[in-house]
Amino acid sequence: MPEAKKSVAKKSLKKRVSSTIVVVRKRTSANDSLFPEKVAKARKILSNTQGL
Amino acid sequence: MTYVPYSYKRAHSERYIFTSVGKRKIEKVVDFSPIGIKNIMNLGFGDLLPDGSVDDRSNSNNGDLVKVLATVIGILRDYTAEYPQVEVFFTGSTIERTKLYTRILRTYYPIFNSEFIISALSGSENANKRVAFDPMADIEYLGFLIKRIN
Repeated sequence: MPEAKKSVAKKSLKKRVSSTIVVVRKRTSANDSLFPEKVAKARKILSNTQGL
Repeated sequence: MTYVPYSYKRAHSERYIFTSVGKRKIEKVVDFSPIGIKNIMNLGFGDLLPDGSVDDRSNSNNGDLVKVLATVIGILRDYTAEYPQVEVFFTGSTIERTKLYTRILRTYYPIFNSEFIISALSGSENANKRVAFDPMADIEYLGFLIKRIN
C-alpha cells in the first residue's frame, strides 16, 4: 500500500477507536443517571471522605 | 417496618419503578448509579414525571410515606441481594430531607441493623469521615452508606 494511503487508513482507524472510547465512557457516565445532581453531590462528598 | 410494600417493576438492572397510591397516583423511581468509586452506587429516589424527567425535591404528601419507604427498602434488599459487594450511598436532596432519612434510620434501626451495615458520613462536603451510624447520637449526617450483611 502506498505511504499516503497507509497514512489515511491509520488516521481513519484512529478516529474509529476514539469514537468507540467515547461511547464506552458515555455508558458509565453519571449523565446516564436520572439524578445527575445527586450523583455529583455523592461524588463530591465521598471523594472528601477520610479513609474511604 | 411492617407495612406491606407496593409491588415494583425493574425497568432495567439499575432502575425500579412503582406507583404510590394515596390521594393521587404517583409514579416513583429508584435509580442506582455508579459514582466512579469501586463498589459504591448512589441511590436516587423521586417522582417520575409524565415528560420522563424526575423530581426528587417535592413533598408528595400522598399519605403513604411509610409504605413508600417500605417499598424503597424492599428494592434495596432486592438490589443488594444481587450485588452484595456493593455499598449503596444516599443523601437527601436538601438538608431537611437528609434529616428525615436520619429520623427514619433511627426509628427502624433495629430492623435495618439486622440486615445491613449502616455507616454515616460526618463533617462537611469538603472534609468528612465515615462513622458507624449511631441511632442515639444527635449528629447532623451528610449521607449514609448501606451494605448488606452477607
